[in-house]
Amino acid sequence: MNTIPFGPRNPPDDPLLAKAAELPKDVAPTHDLWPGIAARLGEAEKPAARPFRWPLALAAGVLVASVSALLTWSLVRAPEGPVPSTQVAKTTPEPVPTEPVPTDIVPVKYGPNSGLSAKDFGARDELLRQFRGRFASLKPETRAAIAKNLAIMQTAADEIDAALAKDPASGMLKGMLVGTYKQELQLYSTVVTAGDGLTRRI
Amino acid sequence: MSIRNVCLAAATLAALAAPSLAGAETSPDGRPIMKHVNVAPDATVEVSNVQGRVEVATWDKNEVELVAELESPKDELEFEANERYVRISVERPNGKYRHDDDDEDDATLTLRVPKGIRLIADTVSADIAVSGLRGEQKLESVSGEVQTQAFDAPVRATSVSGEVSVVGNGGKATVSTENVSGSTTVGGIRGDYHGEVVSGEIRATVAAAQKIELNSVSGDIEIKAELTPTSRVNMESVSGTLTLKIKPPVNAEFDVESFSGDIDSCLGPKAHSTSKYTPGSELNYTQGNGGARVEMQTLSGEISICDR
Repeated sequence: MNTIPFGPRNPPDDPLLAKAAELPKDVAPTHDLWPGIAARLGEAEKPAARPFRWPLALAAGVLVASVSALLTWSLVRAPEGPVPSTQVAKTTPEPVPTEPVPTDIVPVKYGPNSGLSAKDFGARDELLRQFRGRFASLKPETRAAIAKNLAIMQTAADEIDAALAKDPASGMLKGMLVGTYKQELQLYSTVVTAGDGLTRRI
Repeated sequence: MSIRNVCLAAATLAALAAPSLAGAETSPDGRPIMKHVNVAPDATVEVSNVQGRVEVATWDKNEVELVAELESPKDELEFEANERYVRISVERPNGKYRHDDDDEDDATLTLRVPKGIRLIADTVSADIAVSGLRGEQKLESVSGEVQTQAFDAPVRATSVSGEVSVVGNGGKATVSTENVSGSTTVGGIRGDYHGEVVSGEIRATVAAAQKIELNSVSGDIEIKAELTPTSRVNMESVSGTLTLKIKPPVNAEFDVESFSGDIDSCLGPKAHSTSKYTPGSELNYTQGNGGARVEMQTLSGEISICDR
């Protein structure tokens, strides 16, 4: 089988991951880091920003990039030994309620073949906490679309996990898993930063 | 220099460095709020809105003009500006924004800006429409539609559930789109294209791009592409259908693989099974003189390749 170990998602080829590799792994800055970052990035001169919003946007962006980079790295280094297929738990997507509430939002569960660690999930869950805080303020149809698509991602993650159980060395499947995970994080991040006047800067 | 002169110089510098305009205001009588500021031709303009619309058009003046129509008396318009940077934001003072069925809370921001500015627009449910802008664009909405044109500067357009549309104008802009459940349409671009979608679809027409990267979870992707000898195409989906239509003559190396989906190509040989124990299939061949490289992968989605 022809394996393709991540191709364009390797840090040298992926601008997002390349930038992420240069970023600190901490999520919540304890003081105003942005002026220094902006100076390094050559940002335009700006009037004094409101103090309460940018840390949220920055933290969300950093989290997405950092977790993606960590995930890619961890999968690249993951041993390629076979994983018993009996560990695969086939799940059925939950029915999507018409107007989901924040507690209805269940993050995607990645199976035992995913290579994801508790650290990866911890970072994702922090972003999810912020996402839930914003979720209730969205239009009902948007909430329904988000819940539906998280269920689609769950189905995809289950299918990839089952396929990885059969072919644990497949770079193609690992690449798809990374892609699904990135999509999930980007979904949370887009909602967390929406309407803040500061989009993700990464 | 005397102390008085030093103080005067410091005051002058402070006045020059300060934003030329800053403040928040409401529109209790429903009248549009108008703002006007002179800016550098390559200034950065950040616009944020919750519900309604952001519309950006260009003109030949080095000025930013804003007309803000706030239908809710609770909405507050924040406007900060200096020559290099303009920030426009519609805020709800209590921090809550909710959708009302009668749409009375719409805020419409209409801007005219210099052609070369860098634009960052960010909304919750407000649509974003940009025309004629040559500078870099980062446009992001949760449920609003995002429509823009691409020239030579990078364009990034994102919407969770709204539609995304980018129309090229012959330039070599690098275009990036992200969508969850909405449809993405990209047409007439000549630069690199990176597109991601979860369950929505991507339909794109790209000419002479160096790099095309498209990813989906369950959404379908269809692209019409003209390849150069150095083009690199990478399409990937978990369960969505990937369709690649290449403008002839086709000179490319193909590396196509599906874990359990079908591969159908009107070029080259038939796909063959990767294993007698699994349903996977793959297709590797060189068409014409080679040069361009095409990689396509799915888990269970179908793959279709043709030159027509």
